[in-house]
Amino acid sequence: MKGLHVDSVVKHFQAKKILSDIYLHCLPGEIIALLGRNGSGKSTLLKIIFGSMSAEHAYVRIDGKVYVERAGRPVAYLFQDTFLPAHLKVSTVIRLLQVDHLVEHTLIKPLLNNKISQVSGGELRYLEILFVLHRPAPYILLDEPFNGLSPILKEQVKTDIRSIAAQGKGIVLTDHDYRNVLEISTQKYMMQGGILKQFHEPEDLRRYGYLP
Amino acid sequence: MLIAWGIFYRKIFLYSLLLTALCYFLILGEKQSTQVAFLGYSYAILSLAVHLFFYEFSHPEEYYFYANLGLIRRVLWQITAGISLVLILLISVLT
Repeated sequence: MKGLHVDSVVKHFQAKKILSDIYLHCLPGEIIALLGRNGSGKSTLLKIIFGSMSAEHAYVRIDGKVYVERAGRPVAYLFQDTFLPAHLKVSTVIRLLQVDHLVEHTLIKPLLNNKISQVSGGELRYLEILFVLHRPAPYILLDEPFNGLSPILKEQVKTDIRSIAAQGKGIVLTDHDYRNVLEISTQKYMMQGGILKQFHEPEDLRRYGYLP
Repeated sequence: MLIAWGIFYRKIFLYSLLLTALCYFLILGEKQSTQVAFLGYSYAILSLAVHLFFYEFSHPEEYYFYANLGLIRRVLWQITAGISLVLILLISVLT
C-alpha cells in the first residue's frame, strides 16, 4: 500500500503531553500542510517521522513497510535551521546527498567549489531545500522552508515543491508563512493540544486561534 | 555511508589527536615507559569528549545532515564509543 502512514504517535516532554495519538497519511504527490502555534509539536512530529527523535509510541509505515527502527527510513528531512557542515564544499555535499543532477542548476553551478560557510544565508537555505527535495527518497519533510528567504526565492521554492510533488513524491511541510503554505498544500492540518485537526478554509485558522 | 562516516569522524580524530599530543607534553614529560598506553587511553577518552562538545553542544544541527545520510545520532555515538573501546582493548592486550 503506497503512502506515508503515521499513527498513534505519543510524545511527552517531562510531564507535558506534546503529541497525543497523532494520525497522518500522505500519499505520493500530496503536499500536506501542518500549521500550529509555536511549541505545538509540529517539528517534534516531523522529527519522529524522520527517526531523529524517539517517541513513547509511533507507528510508521512507508509504502507498505513498517519501520520500527529509527534509522534507514526512506524519508528526507529539512531541519528548521541551517544544518550542512560549514567546512564541506558544495560539490562534496551534492555527492554525499546523491543529488548529482543538480550540478547544472543555474544557482548551484557557480557555487560548486565554495565551502558551505562561504554561501550567503538565503542562498544556503535555498540550497538545502533543493538538496532535500531532490534526495532519492519518496517522502520529504520540510520544517520551515520559507524562513529567511526573499520573496523571489519563496516563489521559487513553491514552484520547486509543486514540481517535486508532481513527480510523485509526498511532501509534509510546516511553516508560519501560512499564506504560502496554504497556497501549495493539497491537505491542511492544524496542530492543537497535541492532536491534528484537518481544516479546509483559511477562515478556520481564526476559529482554531492560530490567527488573531 | 562510509564516506559520510569518514567526514563525521575526521573532525573528532583531528581534534582528539591534537589534544592527546597536548596532554602528552604537558602531563607525561619524560616518563617514556608508559608512552603508548598513555597516548591510547588519552585518545580514547578525549575523542568521546570531543564528540560531546563539538556535536552535542556546539554543532547539534549537523546531526540532521548525517541523519539524512542514514546515520542517526545513536549510530554516530556507537561509532565513536566503539572506536574508543577497541582502542582500549588493544592497548590492554598489547601492553
